[in-house]
Amino acid sequence: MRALRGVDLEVGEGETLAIVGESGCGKSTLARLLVGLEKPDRGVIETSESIIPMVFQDSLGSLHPRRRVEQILVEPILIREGRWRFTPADRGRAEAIAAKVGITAELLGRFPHELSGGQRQRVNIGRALALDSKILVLDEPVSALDVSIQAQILNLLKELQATQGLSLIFISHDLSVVRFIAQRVAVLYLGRVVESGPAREVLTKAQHPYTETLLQSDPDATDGPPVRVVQGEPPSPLEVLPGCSFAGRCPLVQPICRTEYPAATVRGDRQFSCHVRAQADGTEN
Amino acid sequence: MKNLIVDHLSIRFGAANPVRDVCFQLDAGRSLGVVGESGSGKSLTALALMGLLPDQARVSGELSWGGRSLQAMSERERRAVRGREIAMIFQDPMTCLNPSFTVGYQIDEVLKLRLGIRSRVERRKRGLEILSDVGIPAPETRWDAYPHQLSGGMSQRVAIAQALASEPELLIADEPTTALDVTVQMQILELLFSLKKKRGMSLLFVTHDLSVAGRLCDEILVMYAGQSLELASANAILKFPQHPYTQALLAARPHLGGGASERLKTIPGSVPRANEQIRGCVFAARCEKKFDRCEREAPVFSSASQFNRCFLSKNERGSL
Repeated sequence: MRALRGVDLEVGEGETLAIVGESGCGKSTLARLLVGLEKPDRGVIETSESIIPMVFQDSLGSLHPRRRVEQILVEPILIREGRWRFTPADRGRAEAIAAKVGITAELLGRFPHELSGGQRQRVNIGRALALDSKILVLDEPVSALDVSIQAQILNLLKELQATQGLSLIFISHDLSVVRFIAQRVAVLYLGRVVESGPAREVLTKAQHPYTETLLQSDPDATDGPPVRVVQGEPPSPLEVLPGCSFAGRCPLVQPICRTEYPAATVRGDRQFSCHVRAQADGTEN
Repeated sequence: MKNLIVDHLSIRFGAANPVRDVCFQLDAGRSLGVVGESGSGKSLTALALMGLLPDQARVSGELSWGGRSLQAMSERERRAVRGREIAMIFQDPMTCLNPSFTVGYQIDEVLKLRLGIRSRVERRKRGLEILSDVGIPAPETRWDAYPHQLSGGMSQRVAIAQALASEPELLIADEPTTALDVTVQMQILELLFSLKKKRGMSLLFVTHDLSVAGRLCDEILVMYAGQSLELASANAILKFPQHPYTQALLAARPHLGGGASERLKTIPGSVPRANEQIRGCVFAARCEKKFDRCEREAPVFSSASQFNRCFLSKNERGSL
C-alpha cells in the first residue's frame, strides 16, 4: 500500500501550513514522517531543526499516566541531558514552560487524569516546546475539545507563534478552524496533494472539485448555494485505480479523469491537479 | 401523532446531579436540536426518554409522551413504547450493531418483533425497501453482509434503517455523525432530515455542534451543566442569541467566512462538576454579564422568561 504519493510541501518560518483531508487520506502518515516516526520510501524532508515535536489528538493517551505535570514538561530536557531523575532545579524549568502555555503553578503536581481536556492539551504543547524547537506538528489537536476550550487552545497557538516565531504544521478536518489558524493549506486526497495555496484563497475560491465538496460539507457554510452533497465515500487507499483518485465521486468527471492522473496546474502560489479545471483555466487565460 | 413534553427533568447518581433542570416540548413532526458541550447532560436526557438509564439513577420531573407519563408506565408498557414509538440511534454505529449477525437478520428481527409481521418473504421485502430508503446501494447483496464488512457511513445507514424499521413516531439521534468523515456526515444528516419529512416523524437531534443543528433543525435547545438555558427557533438562536452562554458559544467558534481574525473569544474557566452545589445561575462563574443577583438566586426557565434562563431576559428585566 502507498499511503502518500509525490507530496511536495514547504513551510516557511513563522508560518502555519494546514493539511486537510478525510480519514485514510494520509495526513497522519505525513505527520509521522515529518517527526521521524516513519521513514519515506522515496523523497526527503529537509529542516533547520534537529528535532520536530508533535502534539496528538488524544490528549490523555499521549501523556504518561503516572508522571506529574512538572515531570512531563521537562522530560525532553532530561532525555537530552541524559538524566532520568527529576531534581528540584528542574522545577523552575517546568514552571517556566508551564507559564508559556498557560498552566498555573498549582497544576504542576497533578497527574494527567486530574486535568481537564484543555489543560492536558496545554501540557502536550508545553512538552513539545520544551526543547525550543521552531517547528511543531499538530495532528487534530483541538478536534476532541469542546468549542469553548478549542478557542482557548487556538488562541494559545497563535500567541506562541507570534511570540516565538514558530512554524506550525496543523492537521485538521475542520475548515473553519483551518481558516482561523493557517496561512497556507494543502488538501490531501488519497495520499496526494490535490490543491494547495494561501488559506484565504483556497477556502473561498477552491479550484479542485474535492476542495469544493469539503467546503460545501462544512456545517458552517450556511450562506451560499444549496449544498450539493457528494455521493459515495472516500475510496480505500488499498485499491488505487489509475487516473484521478477523486474521479469516482466527482460531479465534473470526464473520460480522461479515469485514465490519467492530472498534472499540477501552477498559478502563482496556488496549485491544483484537475483536468477539467485546468482546461477551464487555460481557456480563460 | 404525539407530543413530547419534558418538565423539570433532574437525574441524580448519589451526590452527583448531572441533569439539574431540563424543560422542553417537542411537537409532533418537528425537529429539535439539543446542543451542549460535554457534561451538559444532553445524552443522559436522551437516555432518560428511552428509559435506558442505569438502575441507580434517580429521576425526578415529568416526562410525558402523547399525554401519558413515561415514568408511570410499567416496564411492559415502556417496552412497547421503546423502539416501537420512540427509537434511538447512537454515535458509534459499530457498537450498536451486533457483530455476529447479518444486516438482514438485524432488520428482520425488528420487523418480526416490533411490527409482528409473520411472513418471512414479506419481512425481507420490507427490509430491502428500508435499506434502499436509507441509501444503501444494492441492498440485496448487503442483506447478507456482516457489520464489519461495511464502512462507517454504511453502518450508520444500517443503524438508521434498523431504528426506522419499527416506524417510530419519534427518533432520537445522539451525535449520529461525530464518528464519520465530513463529506459522509452531510450525507447522513440530509438523509436523516429527509426521512423525517417523508415519514412525518419528530426528531430529537443531540449534538455538540451549534452550526449543524442550526442548519437542519426547526428549534434549538441549548444546554449547560445539566440545565436547559435557552430554547428558540434555530434561526433566532443563530442570529439573535439571548442567553450569554449561547452568545459566548457562537463567538468562540471560528467561521469559514470569518477570516483569520487575531483572537477568538473564549469562555474563561470550565464547566462546573456534576457534584457541585450551585446556588445561583449555573453559568454565573463564567459569565461576562453577571451581576450580584446571579450568584444568589437561580433564574427560571419558563414561558415567562421566554425560555431564556437569565435575569437579563426581557421579561425578567421588568422585575428588577
